[in-house]
Amino acid sequence: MKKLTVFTLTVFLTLMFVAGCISNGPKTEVEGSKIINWVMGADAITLDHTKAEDNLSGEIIYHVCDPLRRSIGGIFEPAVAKDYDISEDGLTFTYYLRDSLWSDGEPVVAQQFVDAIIRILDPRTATANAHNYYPIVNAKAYNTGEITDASLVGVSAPDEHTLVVNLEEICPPFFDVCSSTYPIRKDVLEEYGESYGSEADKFIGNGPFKVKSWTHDISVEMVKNENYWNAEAVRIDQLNRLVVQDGNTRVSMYDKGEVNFVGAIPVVFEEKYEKIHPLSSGAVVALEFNLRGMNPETGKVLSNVNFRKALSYAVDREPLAKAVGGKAWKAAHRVLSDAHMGVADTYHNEYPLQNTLPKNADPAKAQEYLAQALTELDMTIDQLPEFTFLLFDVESYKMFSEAIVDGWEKVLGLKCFEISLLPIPQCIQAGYDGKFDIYFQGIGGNRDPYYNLEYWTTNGAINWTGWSDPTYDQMVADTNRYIDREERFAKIVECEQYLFDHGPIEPLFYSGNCFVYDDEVITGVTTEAFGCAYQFVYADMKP
Amino acid sequence: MFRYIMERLFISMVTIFLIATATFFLLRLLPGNPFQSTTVMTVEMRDQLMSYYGLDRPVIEQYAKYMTSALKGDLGYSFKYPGRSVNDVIKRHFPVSAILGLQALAVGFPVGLLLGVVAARNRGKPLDYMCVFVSIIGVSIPSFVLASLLQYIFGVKLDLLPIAGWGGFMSRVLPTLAMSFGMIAGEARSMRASMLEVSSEDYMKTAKAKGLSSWQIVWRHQIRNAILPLLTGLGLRAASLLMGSLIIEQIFVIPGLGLYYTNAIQSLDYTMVMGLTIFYGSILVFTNFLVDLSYGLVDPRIRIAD
Repeated sequence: MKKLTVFTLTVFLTLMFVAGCISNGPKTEVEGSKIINWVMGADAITLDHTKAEDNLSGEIIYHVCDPLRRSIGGIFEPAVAKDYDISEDGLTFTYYLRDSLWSDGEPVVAQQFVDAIIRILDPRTATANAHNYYPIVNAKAYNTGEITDASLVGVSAPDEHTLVVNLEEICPPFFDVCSSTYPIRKDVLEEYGESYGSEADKFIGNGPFKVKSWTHDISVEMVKNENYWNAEAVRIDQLNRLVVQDGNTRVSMYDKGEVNFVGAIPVVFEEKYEKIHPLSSGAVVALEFNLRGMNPETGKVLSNVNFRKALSYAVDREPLAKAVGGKAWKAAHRVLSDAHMGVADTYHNEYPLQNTLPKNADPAKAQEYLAQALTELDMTIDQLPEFTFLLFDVESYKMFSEAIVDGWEKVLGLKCFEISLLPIPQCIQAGYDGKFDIYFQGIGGNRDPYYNLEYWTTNGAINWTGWSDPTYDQMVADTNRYIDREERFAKIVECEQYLFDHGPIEPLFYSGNCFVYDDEVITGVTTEAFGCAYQFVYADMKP
Repeated sequence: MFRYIMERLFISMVTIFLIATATFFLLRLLPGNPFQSTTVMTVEMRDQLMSYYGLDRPVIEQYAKYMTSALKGDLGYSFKYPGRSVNDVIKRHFPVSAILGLQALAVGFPVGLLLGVVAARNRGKPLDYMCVFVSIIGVSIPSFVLASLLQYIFGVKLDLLPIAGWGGFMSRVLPTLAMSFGMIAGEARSMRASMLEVSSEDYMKTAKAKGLSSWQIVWRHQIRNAILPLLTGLGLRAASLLMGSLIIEQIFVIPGLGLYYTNAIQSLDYTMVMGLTIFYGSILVFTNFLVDLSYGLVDPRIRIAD
């Protein structure tokens, strides 16, 4: 018995000892300094911008690195490049760099941008970002291993302050992508190799802030970078992004004053705050129809455009968006998101479509479309096959799918839909394999609407629908022939109209989320649907 | 004893090997692959990534390659988090989960036993009903409800303890309580049942007949015999507590391993799932091994002969 007591006691005491030793200690704060404690639901994956593919990493990188040109609330401003030229044929971009420094005081030079682009394209880097740089001469060949000599890629630095990018063929939307490139330091990269960007001390940036510490899945602490070329304009001393997965905890921390900026507020708490700000994600949530079908019968029915329209008009968009998605969600009335910019105003305002979708279900029109579809198909309602309605196994998606299927039953009297929820990777695989009839998903936005239109071309990255229309492919490719933005967007809207009328997708919602902060205390925060969602570079705080 | 330990060690190694093998092949049977995140990617791009990570090779070849490096102690790099090796993730996050788990165990196990003993000694009396009530509540309230409740009461309303975070002693009180509550309830119920079961054994009567005080009977005979079945379960419980709890870690923002494990499975991060499974398996096997040895401490009858 004594042994047992001694054993238990020893274990217990050791535990207490170990527990006492390991402690992160509380954060110390200097009085009077301007600190934004910003809390989000998930952490960055990497600080290596050549590999970062997710928005959460992008948000940190945006604050600790400086690109050629920086988007502030969607408008590009000079950053490392103080000026640029686009050649008349649209094939050459030349950037003129200012004198600027890395956070350790080393100069930023044009070759570091060349290094970054080459690293992204290097097949050994293995990043999906490479695809974005394919318009550059030989970029694809180098990325796919066809050529191994990096010097053949059309990007060069004739001197320390000039960067020249040569394109294979003209591609105006690529200019913003190219301008968003961050430089990379080869010496630091070589020092850390594979683990570059995985920790705060295995990384170097040239941005308005520098990373002070990064505790994975807990917090990233960023402090003002005195070596930043525009450091005078940066007012915030410290920017901490905390990661709190649980929505309740995030909100409680704000209520208690532990944080002063909360992103991704759970829908149930939206009513609680007056200072709530909606932010569009730039994504369009849509129904995608598999025109080949899970089997020939469903394929035949779904190939009928009127059947697809019938389903689309039976969805009660606006009420559903608000009820399930929350304040930041809106009914979608056209294929491209309302967050895109046109020339001087929003794209939607400048380029209207001839016809758009209603905010609420339109039973009369839906039934009319269905009747027409059934006549064309020579079928009755009872003869319709069962359709598989595939979506991610996510709580909100589940609610959406049930409400939508319910609407189809009530408005159209159709009971032939089976909801199939799969975990995300499996669901995407099923999408690739065409194992669905109707697929519900959020289609991520890109700053330039061209990329969203390109998705639905024959070889489009997410076109699993089997829709292949040479006319559309040609129309989308042709938009790039216009360097002038106004002319180009006139063509873009034609493509959108075509996709709206004939395409395999029916848009449902424009998604978004809400965030809370006191805009009388923290000022100058900019937000953006595409790119970095929350931007604190020129933010300020009242004492 | 030495031979017994060696035998058990050998069996443990085989078990871990089998766990690794089964996990490896089961993972590959799942549809999808690690590169199917919500990032838009062309088919060529995906194929390129697959071949970069060697996922286009025959499964047997991948298996041989993985097992060879795993044997050397290298669990590989994560597919989802570029630049983070599984070994690093374990090194960094396991201590946190382990401390929280051990704290929960240190609170939960003795308190649970105590409640069980008190309940059994006062069978049918108000104290018994109270203990039973507490344990029923403990078993039926899900940990996320309890955790949020604790946060609300002690963090927001009373403002006594931090809501979340992983810093000094104060920040650990709530997660430890939330995590140990289920254990207290479970152990109390089992201990009560076990105590009552042994109370009618012959040796108990003998002890009484010998004229031992009731304190001595309970301490020396009843508890010692009643605790045996609970020890069996302790290994499993300890292992699962050590590996961290997704829910508690999520709610209290604790940088433990639980979160990694769940995320890895959801995103099919092969190397991460494999590495953590092998690690978890080893802990499970090891704690069970310790439990087997501890039987000897409690019950001389099953002390292993040399």
